[in-house]
Amino acid sequence: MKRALVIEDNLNNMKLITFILEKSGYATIRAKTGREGVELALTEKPDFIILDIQLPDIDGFEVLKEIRKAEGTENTAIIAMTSYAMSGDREKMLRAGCNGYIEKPIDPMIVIKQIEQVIGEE
Amino acid sequence: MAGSDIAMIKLTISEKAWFEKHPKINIGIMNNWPPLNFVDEYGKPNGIGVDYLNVINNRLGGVLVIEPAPFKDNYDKVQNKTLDALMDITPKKEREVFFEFTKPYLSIPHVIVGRKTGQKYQSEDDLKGETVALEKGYYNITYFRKNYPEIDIKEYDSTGWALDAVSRGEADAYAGNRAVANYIIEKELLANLSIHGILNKSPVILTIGVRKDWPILATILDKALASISNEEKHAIHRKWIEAIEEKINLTDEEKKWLKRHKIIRIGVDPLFAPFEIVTADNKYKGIGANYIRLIEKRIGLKMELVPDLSWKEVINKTKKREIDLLPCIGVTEARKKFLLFTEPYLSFPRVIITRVDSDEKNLDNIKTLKVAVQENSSHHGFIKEQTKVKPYLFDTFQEAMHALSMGEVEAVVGNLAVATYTIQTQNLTNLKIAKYVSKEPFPLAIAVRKDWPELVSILNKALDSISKESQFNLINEWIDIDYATNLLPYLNKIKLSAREKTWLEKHKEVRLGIDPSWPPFDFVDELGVHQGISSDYVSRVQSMLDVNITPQKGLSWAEMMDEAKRGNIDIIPSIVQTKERSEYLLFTKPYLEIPNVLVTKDDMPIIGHLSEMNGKKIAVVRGFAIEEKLKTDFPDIIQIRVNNFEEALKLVSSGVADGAIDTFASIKHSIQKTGLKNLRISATTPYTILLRFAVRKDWPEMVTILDKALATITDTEKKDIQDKWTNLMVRTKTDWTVIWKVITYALTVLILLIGIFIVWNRKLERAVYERTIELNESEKRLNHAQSIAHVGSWRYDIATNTYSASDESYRIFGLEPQSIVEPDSKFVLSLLHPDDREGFETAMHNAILHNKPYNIEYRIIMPDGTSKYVISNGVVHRLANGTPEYLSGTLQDITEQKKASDVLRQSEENLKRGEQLAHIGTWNFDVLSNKLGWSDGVYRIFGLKPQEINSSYKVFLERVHPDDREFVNNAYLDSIKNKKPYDIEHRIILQSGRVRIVREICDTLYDDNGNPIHSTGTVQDITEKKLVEQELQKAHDELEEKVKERTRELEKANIRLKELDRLKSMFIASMSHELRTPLNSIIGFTGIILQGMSGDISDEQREQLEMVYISAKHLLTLITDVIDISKIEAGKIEAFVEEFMLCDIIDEAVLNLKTQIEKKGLSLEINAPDDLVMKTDGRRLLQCIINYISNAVKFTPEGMVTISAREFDDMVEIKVKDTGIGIKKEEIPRLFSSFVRLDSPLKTTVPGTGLGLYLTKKLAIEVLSGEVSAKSVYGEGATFKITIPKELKNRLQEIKPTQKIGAYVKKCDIIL
Repeated sequence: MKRALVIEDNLNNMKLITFILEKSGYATIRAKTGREGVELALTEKPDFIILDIQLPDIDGFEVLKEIRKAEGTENTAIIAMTSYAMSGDREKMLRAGCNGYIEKPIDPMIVIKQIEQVIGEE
Repeated sequence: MAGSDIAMIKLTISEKAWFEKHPKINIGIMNNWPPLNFVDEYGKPNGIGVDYLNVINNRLGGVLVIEPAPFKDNYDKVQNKTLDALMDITPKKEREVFFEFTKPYLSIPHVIVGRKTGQKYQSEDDLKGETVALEKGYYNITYFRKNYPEIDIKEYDSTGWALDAVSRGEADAYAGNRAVANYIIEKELLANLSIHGILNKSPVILTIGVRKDWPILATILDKALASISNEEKHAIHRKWIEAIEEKINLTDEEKKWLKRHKIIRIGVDPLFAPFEIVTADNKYKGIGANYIRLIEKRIGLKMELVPDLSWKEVINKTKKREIDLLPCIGVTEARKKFLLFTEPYLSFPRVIITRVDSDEKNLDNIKTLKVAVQENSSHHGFIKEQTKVKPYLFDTFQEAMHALSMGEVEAVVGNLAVATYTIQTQNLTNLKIAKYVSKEPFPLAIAVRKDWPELVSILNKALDSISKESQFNLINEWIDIDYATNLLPYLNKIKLSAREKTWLEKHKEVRLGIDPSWPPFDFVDELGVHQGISSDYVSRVQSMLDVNITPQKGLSWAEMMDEAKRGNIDIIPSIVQTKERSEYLLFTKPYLEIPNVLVTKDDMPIIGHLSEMNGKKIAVVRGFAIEEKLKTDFPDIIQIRVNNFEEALKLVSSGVADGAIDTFASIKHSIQKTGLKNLRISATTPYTILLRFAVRKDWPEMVTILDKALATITDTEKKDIQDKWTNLMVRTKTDWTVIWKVITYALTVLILLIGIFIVWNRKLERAVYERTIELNESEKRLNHAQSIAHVGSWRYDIATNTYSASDESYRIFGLEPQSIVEPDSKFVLSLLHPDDREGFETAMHNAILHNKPYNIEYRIIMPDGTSKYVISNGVVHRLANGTPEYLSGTLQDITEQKKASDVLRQSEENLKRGEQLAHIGTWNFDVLSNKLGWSDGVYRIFGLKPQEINSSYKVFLERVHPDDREFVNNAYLDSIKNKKPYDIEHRIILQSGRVRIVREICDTLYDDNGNPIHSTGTVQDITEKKLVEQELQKAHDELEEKVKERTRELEKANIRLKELDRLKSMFIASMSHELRTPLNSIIGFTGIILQGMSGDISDEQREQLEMVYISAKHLLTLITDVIDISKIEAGKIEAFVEEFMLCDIIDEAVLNLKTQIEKKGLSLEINAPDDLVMKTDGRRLLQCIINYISNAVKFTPEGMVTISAREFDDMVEIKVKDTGIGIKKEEIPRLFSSFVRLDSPLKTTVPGTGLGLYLTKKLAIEVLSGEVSAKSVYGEGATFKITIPKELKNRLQEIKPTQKIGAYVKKCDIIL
C-alpha cells in the first residue's frame, strides 16, 4: 500500500483529502505545520506528498526546498494543493520542483485521477 | 610643409567679378551615403565630402550652401539648373552633357569583403563559383556579369543589406566601395567581416559636378580644391578612415606586458629626415614619428623621446638599455647583436645622386668617381664592402649633398627618400637621382632592446593593423605622393590570389624565349646577356613573382618560335599577338605601345601628317592590321599590297610606292637587311603595335599572374625604361659605327642620320626649351612678385614721350598685359579720373623740371567705368650732364586701403547711431595718463548732454550707487590683477536722483611685463530689461509654485491610489482564499457523499445533495470569474507562457465537465490533432475551453458537443459546436458582454453568472492575443470559436500610468 504524507493546516481540508485517499486505497500520514511536514517526510519517507502552500509556520515553498535538499527524498513526488490565489503560484511551484499542482477547492470526482496522473499510477 | 593658414585661392579678375554676382552657390550632397556624404542624427550634413566642402567654403568666404538630397533629385536639379553643383559625382561621358567636372579630389578602390574565418578572397578570380552580394542597380553587377560570369550574384537593396547577407552566411562575399563598406561594417558591428582584397577595376573617382553653363565655377572650385593642403587632407581622411580600422588582438601576456611598461623611451636620429626629425623644441616628427603616433594610439603605449642626443649617443645608450626603442632604423646584421627588429615597415632603394649635368656614363664605373657618403651610415658600409672605393666622409647626409652641389665631390650614395627630401627642402636643384645602386630596397624597421621580445610581437601586430591607405597618408605627408607610388616597392606589391600563389610555388623555373637581334626591344649583347626593353620588364616581373626566369640562348627568333610550338619555351617577353601564334600561345594584355612611322624616299619633303599622303601610294603588307586601318581612316591613300615588309621597302626605294609604314625599330632592321640607302623616316602615324608577353598554351594561370605583375608597372616607370634603352641605343650605335664603317659606310650614315635626326631634334628642342624657360623664369618671378603685391613698375621716356610698363601695371589699369605697346602720355592721361589729370601733369612737370619728388595719389577709370585709387612713386634719371632722360617708378593699387578707411569712417558713424539705439556707451581708460574718455552714449546713460563735463574715474564712481561703489571698484581692480575681462551689473544715480541699472563690460590691454596700459569698456542701460526680467521672474516663480502645488496634490492622490491598489490586491487574495476554503469543504464532502464513498444514500437525498453540489460549484465559478475579470481590467494579469500539447488541455477540460456531460447523456466528439504543441498560457486557454464546453453542455438538452481544433498560419483555432437551442441572430452581438444572460427557455433552469463568455473574450484578447467569435442558427445549436497564436511572444503587460486611474475605478465598480 502506498503511503501519502498530507501537509495541511485546515482540519476540514485534511479530513477531506485523507478520506478520499484512504478510500482510494492509500495509507496517509498527516502533518499540520510545515516543520512537522518536513520532519515526517524525512523520517517516514512517504511515496508521495500532498502539500498545502499557505501554512502557519513555514510556507509550502520552504517545505518543498527542505524536502528536496534532504537525502532520500530528492525524488519523492510532491503535489502542491492550494486555493486559487494569485496567478503564478502554479508556475512558481512547478518551477520550484513540484511534480504536480491541484487547485482547491478540490473535486472529489476527479482529484484522485489528477493525483494518480502525477505519481504515475493509473 | 605648407600650412593651411597661408593657403589662398588666387582668382582672376573675371572670376572675382563672377563671384560678386553670385553671392550664394547651392551645392548638393547625397543625404544617405555615409561616410562620404550623409545627414547625421542631428540633421546636419556630414561626411568626407562635407569636410572637404567646409574647408573650401572657408576659403571662398562661405558662399557655398550645402543642400542634402537623394542623388537622383540633386542630379536632376543640376540638369535643370535649379542647383549649381553636385558633390561626389563620378565623371562619365554621358554626364558631360549636363555637367562640368572639377578635377578628382578623391579616389577610393573597390574591395572584396568576406568573413574573417574561412575562405579568403583576394581577387575576382578567387570569387569564381562563389556567391557575391551586390547592391541593386550598381554598376558592379554589370562588371561581374560581363567579366566573371562564373560568379553567382545576389542583389540587395542597399550596401547594408548586402554586407549583412555576407555576415549571416547567405552570401560568400561582398564587393564595393571601400570607404562605404568599412563604415557600415563598423557602424553595424558586423564584427565577423573583414576586407580580403581589392578589385582589379579602377577605383571610384569623385569630383564636383557643376551645371554646364557655369564652367567658371568649376575652375574656381578646382582652385579651391587645389588649395587644400596635404595636412588638411590627411586630417580628414584620418578622421574617417582610421577610426574604422581593425582593432589589434593582443594576447593576455602581451596585455599584461603593456600594463607593466607604460612608458617607452625612444631614441631617434636627429638628422634622418624625412624619417626622423627633431624640432627645436624637442618634438619628434617625420614619417617614423607618424607611424609611432599611430601605434601609440592603437596599443595605448606612451613613447617618450630621450632628447638632445646625437645618433652615436643614441646607439650607445641603446646598448646600455637606457633607451628602449628606435622607431626607424635600418636592419643590419651588426645591429641584430644588440637589438630586436620588427618586420620592416618602410623600404626605399639605395641610390646614387649626381649633379644634373654630370654624364651618366661615368656611373658605370663608380671607382673612378669621388663618392661621398655619410660616415657610419649603412651606405658607408655598403661602399666599403661592394666597391672598395675610398669614399669621402661627411658627418651628415646634408653636408654630403651640399658638397656635391658645390662640386667638391662627384656623387653621393644614399637612401632614395632621404635624398629626395633633401633635394626638395634644401633647394639643391642642380642634383638628381641618377641611378639605383641595388634593386633590393633598404628596409627600415622598429628596433627594440634585446630583452623585450614581447614588445616586438605587439609592435608587429600594431604595424600590421595599419591599412595601406593609412600608410600612404603617413608617408605622403613627407614625400610627394606620385613619387611614393612609383618608387615604393613596398606599397607596390602585386596581389595574387591564393590559387595563383600555389600555382607559382609549383612553377618556379621559367624558360624565356627571346629574339637575339631585335634592339632595342629584345637582343643579346656581346657577352651573351639578354638586354633590351623587354629584359627590364622580365627582371621586374622576376623580382615581383620570385621565380627564376632563364633566357634560352643560342636560338634565332625562328628557332625559338619552333621550340615554343613544341612547348619548350614557357614565356616570350616581347611579341605581337597574331592569329597564327594564338593557336599555340596565350597572350597577356599589351604592356607597351610602339608607334608606327612612315618611311619614304629621302628626296621626299618631310610631311606633318599622314593625310598629306592622300592620292599617293603606300605599300602595305597583306593581312597586316594597318591595311584595314588605312582603308577606313585614309580612304584617299592608294594601297599597294605586298607580301612582306622588305618588299614594301624595295617598292619605296625604287619609286613605285611613295611610302611604307612600320615601327621605327623594324624599319631600321629591314633597311639593314636589304641594304637600301635612299630611304628615310618622314612622318609619324596615328598607329601603334602592341607588345605583350606570350605564355605556353597550358599555362593560363601564368597569363593572369603576368597581367597583374605588368599592371603594377606605372607609366612613369615604363617611360623610364624606354628612355633608358633609346638613349642607350644611341650610344651603342656610336660604338657600332666603327664596325659598320668597314662593312657599309652608307648604311651607317643612314642609320646615324635617322638616329641623330630624332635625338638631335629632341636635344635641340630640349635645349631651346630650357633656355627659354630660364629666361622666362626671372621675368615671371618679377611679374609674380608684382602681382602678389599689386605693385606695378613703369618707365616714362622723356624724349619719345612714351611709357613702358610691367604686366601688373597694365592689370592695375584693367588692361591685358602689354596689350598696348608703348602708350604715349596722352593715352595714359585719358585713363585718369578727369579731376586728377591736372595734378598728375603738375607732379610730372615738377619732378622733371624742378627735381621735386614724384609721389602722388590719383584715381584711374577702369574700362568698365569703375574707379580705382593708385599711388605712384617715381625717380628722374638724368644723364651725366644733368639732362633728364627718363622717369621710372612704381604704381600701387590702393583702392582696398581707401575702401577700408572709408569703411572705418562709416563704422564709427554706425557705432554712434548704434549706441543711441541700444542705450549703450563705450569708454576708454588710459591707465598711464589716468584719463577716461566717454562716448556720447555714456553721457546719455548718465543723464548728461554729450561731453557736458570732463569724464574721469572719480566722476564715474561718484555716479555709481553708494552701495555698489566698492563692488564696482573691486571688479575693475580684480580684473586688472587677474588679467581677466569683467562683466558686471550695478546701479547708478542720475543727476535727477533716479536710479538706473547698467551692465558694464571691460577688457584691458597689458604690456609685455603684464602692466595694464589701456582699458576699453561698454556700459549699457539695462533698467527696462531688468524690470521686464523681474516681472518675468515673478511670473515664472508664481507659475513654478503653482506647478509645485499641483504636483504635491497629484503626489498625494498618487499615494492614495497606490494604497488603494495595495488594499485591492490584498482583498483579492484574501477573498480568494477565504471564500474558497469553506467551499472546499462543501464541494469536497458533498462530492464524497454523492459518490457513495461514505455509504449509500436515498434518491431523494441524492437529489438534494446534488443541488448543494451544483450551487456550490456555481458560487465557486462566480467568485473565480469576478476575481479574474477584475484582475484583467486592472491590468494585473500576466500570461505565463509554457509549452504544452493542445490535446492535453482539451482532455483536462473534458475531464472537468465529464460528470455533467454523462449526466445529460450527450455524446462528445473530439477532433483535434494529437501532436499539436503550443507555447502560450495553457491555464488560461483551459479556462476558455472549459467555459465554452460548459456553455454548450448547459444549453444542449440532447444531441452532441463537438470539440475541434486546427492549426493555420501560426494560429490555432478551437471550435466548440453543440446541437442545442441556439441563439437568436439579434442576440449574437451581445453574447460576449458582461452579465448578459440571454432569454431562453432554459434560463430559469440553467445556472450562470453571465460572466463566462465575457471572461473568455477578455482572456482570449488581452492575455492570449487572440480573438473569439460565435455563430448560430436559432434552434439548431451554436458554434463558439477561439483563435489564438500558436506561440505567444513574451508579452508582459505594461500598465500605462494614464490607464491606471481609470482602471481602478472600473475595478471598484465590479467588486463593490
